[in-house]
Order: sequence, then C-alpha cells, then structure tokens
Amino acid sequence: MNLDSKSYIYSSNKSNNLIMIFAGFILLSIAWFVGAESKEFYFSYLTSYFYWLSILLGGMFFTLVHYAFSSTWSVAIRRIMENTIMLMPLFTIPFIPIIFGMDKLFKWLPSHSYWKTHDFEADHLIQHKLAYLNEESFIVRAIMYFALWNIIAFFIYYNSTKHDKTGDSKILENLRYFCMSPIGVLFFTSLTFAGLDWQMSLDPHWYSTMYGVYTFAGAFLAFLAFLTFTLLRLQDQGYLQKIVTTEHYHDLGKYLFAFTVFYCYIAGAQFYFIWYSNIPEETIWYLHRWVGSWKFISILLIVGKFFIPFFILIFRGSKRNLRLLQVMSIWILFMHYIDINFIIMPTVHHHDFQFGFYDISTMLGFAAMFIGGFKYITSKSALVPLKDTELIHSINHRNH
Amino acid sequence: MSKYGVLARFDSPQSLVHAAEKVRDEGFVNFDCHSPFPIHGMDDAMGLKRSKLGYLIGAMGLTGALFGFGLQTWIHSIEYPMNISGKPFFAYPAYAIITFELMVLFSAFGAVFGMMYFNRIPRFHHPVFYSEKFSDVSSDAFYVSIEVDDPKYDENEVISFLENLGGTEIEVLKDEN
Repeated sequence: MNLDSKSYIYSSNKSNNLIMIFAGFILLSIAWFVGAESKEFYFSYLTSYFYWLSILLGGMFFTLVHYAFSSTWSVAIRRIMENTIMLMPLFTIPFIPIIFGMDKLFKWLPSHSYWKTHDFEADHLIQHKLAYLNEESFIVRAIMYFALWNIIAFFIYYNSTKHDKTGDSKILENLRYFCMSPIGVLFFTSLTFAGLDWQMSLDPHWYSTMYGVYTFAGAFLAFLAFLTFTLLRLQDQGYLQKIVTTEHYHDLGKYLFAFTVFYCYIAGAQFYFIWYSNIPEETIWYLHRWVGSWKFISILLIVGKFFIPFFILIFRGSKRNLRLLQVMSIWILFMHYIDINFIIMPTVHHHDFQFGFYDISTMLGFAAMFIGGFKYITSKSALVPLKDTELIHSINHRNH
Repeated sequence: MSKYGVLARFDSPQSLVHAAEKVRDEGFVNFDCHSPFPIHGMDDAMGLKRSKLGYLIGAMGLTGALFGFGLQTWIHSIEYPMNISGKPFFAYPAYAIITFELMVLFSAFGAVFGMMYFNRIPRFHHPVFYSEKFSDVSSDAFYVSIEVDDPKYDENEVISFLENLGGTEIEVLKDEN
C-alpha cells in the first residue's frame, strides 16, 4: 500500500508557531506582572494551567496504555498522542508562578493571609497535615512529578521518532517494556498526588479519597475530546486522508462515551460518600459550590458533562457522524474547563462564578502556547509512524 | 413430507463468505450460514441488518431506572416516610444507587430475554440436524442453507446455483413435521 506523502507530512510555518508560543509566554507574563500581588490572578492561573496540563497528562496515560498493550487500532493516531505529550517540557516552566504564589493559593501555609487574623496553631486538622503539606515537600514533590513526566515524554517521543528512521522492531519492544514497567504505576501515583497537591489542598480541611481518580477521569476525557477534535481538524486541512477512518472515530466516540460515564461515576461516588456521612469539614466543599451562581455551575456540570453527552453519544449513529462528534468534543472540552473552574475557583470567589481579565488572559496564553507548541512538534515528524508494521492493520481497522 | 430447504457444504471460511455474498446478491433472504467459529465480515456478506436488541435494552434500562426511582420516592416520601440521619424524606441523591442497579437489572433482562426472542431460542431441534453429515459443522465443515420460505426459492434452480458456487454434498432437507 502506498500512502501519499502529502497526507502524512504536516507542513506549517515554523516561525509562526514559535511566535505563537512566544506570544503565549508574553501574555502570561503580562498577566502575572499585572496580577502578581492579587490572589485572583494565581487562582485563575492555576485553573488555566491545570486545564491545559490535564489534557497533556490524559494523553500521557493513553500513550502508555497504547504501548503497554501493543494495541493495533490506535497505531495510526499514535503520533498525535506522542506530539501532545511532547509539550511536557514547554509546560514545565509555567509552573514557576505557582510556586511564587503559594502563600496566596494555599491556606495550609502559615504565611497565608488568613492566618493574620486567625491562630494557625489552633487549627488542629491542618497541624496534623503539616507533615505532608509544607512548602519544602510541596516543591520537592512538584519537581519529582515534572521529572517523571518529562522522562516519559522524552523517552517515548525520542524512541518513536527514531523508529520512523530505522524501523528497528527492537525499539518498539523497548517502548512496550518501558510502558509496562513500574513507570506506568508511578505515573498514576504522580497524577493522583498532583491532583491532591494542586487542587484538593486548596481547601486543606477537606479531603476525598476519590480525588486522584477524579483528576484522572477528567484529564483523560479532556484528552480524548482534544484528540478527536485535532484529528478531525487535520483531516479538514487535507491530512491523514484514508489513514484515519470513521472506524477510528467510532472507537474514539466509544471512549468518549465510556469516560463520560466513568467521570460521572467517580464524581457521583465522591459526592455520595460525603453526602451520606455528613461530616462538616467534608460537606463544606460542596456547600461552597451550592451558593449563588455556583449552584448553576454545579447543575450545569451534572447536565452538561453527563446527561447531554450520554444521551447523544449512546447511539452508534452519532459516534459515526463526524460533525456531531466534533461538536461533542468541543462541548466536552468546554465542560472540562467548567469542571476545573468549579474545583478551584470557589476557594477565592466565595459567592459567584466569575470570568474576568485574569481568566481570559491566562486561558488565551496557555492556549497559544499549547496550540503553537503542538503545531511546532507536529511538523517535526510524520503524522503516522511510517515504519510500524501494524500501521496497515490500523488503517484497515474495522468495528464489528 | 414438507421440505425445509437446501443444504450445501463449503470447504473454507473464505468460500463460505464468498458464497454468502453471492446468495445475498442473488436476492435470497431466508438463508443461513453455518460455521464452527465466528467469521469476521459474515454479517455484511449475508446482508444482515444491525440488531434491534440495543434499542430494546435501552428502553428496558430507562424503564428500570424510572421504576427504581419511582419505587423509592413512593416508599420513602409517601408510603412509609422515615427520618434517616436527618435527611429529607425526598432524598433523591440516595436513590441514585438503587435506580442505577434496577436499570442494570432491567437492561440485563432485556438483553437476555430479548436475545432469546430474536434468536428464537430455546429451540431443541432444527431441521438442519436431519442431515447426517451436518455434525461436521462443529469441526471443519461450512454450510449454507437456503430455506423453502424464501420468495425466490425454486428447488432445481437453487441446487444448480449452489453447485455453481462450489458447494458440495448438496441435499434437500425435510422439515420436522
């Protein structure tokens, strides 16, 4: 079988992409410069940062699974996943403002403004958590997560592109062993603790044992939506013709459907345990999200993140209708933002959902970085792993 | 003696799929293929439509969910209201689990019994078993059977048609009555 090289060589203007990344950095810097002293800025920044980072981490999970199980159907879309995770080094640097803003973000720091008027020593619950929640260990853990994620990203991307040139099957074998090794377990652990550190600890009294899975469920769902959208966009521009077919979209649609249900299951389970046991320091988290316009956001999440995608994606016809799938993936990406905002923002905006300058500028900044970086990496190598012997099977993949 | 149809043997999965395609293209509707194992692409080759079972399961699942929710609403807030850990009588979050479980139960009933209905089972005997050689179908033989009920059925034509397709050991099957 001969593939037309136009369908798998992504051509894009390199300097435009670099300008885009740079513009993103500038926008973020301006926002940081303006809001360096304001609490709201750091919360908006964390929201936007975690939104884009979670897409990337969901991609990392999917890539690890792809290699660990030597899956065939996803070989044709493998490179898009690898390009996404290769954004990891680019997304390591923007973590720095979060470290600078720690005393504004995290209430468990004695230097947080709340403790100017309250007695830190008297807060028994936080005192007991200080062994884990303190500045040094927070930074060390963050460094460990980013080290691990960067190792995974570089190892997979470097070997996969090397395989494009040499076609040595030993490389794929090594990749499989790498992804089956404890690295996969470590990745999950790091994702769980990253969720705990950066989101759950914003309200240090509150705790949920479901939280790590919740982070994962949201991240993976967002990545699936991003992947579906990206593939359709690339095909609209004339790439991947006759490589990615309706059958692949059908499978991605199944994934979207399955993880919509999974997300609902995890979010529901988290809620039920807290609702049943009715312990004040746990219920307060939901109470903060059930006042003012946050109530509307809570209901929007239930309806928009579960019921709407559930009843649309349940039909086979809608999973094979590419335009509908594209609309659904945009919708899911939008709902993922609402979800992250719903988790982080009520800590600072106690009464109402707000969307202001900081939210817009940080979202746009990260979007520019993400898209520019993605285009830049995508143009570096072929859109499909050309020397992979399974590619032909993936292209001819069919649902029965 | 009433007749059931014509049975023809093929030697390989490929020839069976090929034969099924030809039989489909010829316009036969009431025919079946028999093989020791599932063959990919057989549904298309036979021109089978997608199963309606999914819609039945969906309807049963919705019924179960509504039934579960309604049942608990009726019990806890109308028929026998009890104060459980200070929660309201109509404590709908607590109903979700039973609602979900009844949805699964009803869907499972829908799936199993619907499958049995669409497959017309349980059925203890089938006319193809009158053929003595048919038992090979559980090891290495592939069969196509075309039934008398088919509007295009004409015995001599069907026999010569199957012969042309490469079918061997063609026989006319009697019906159970």
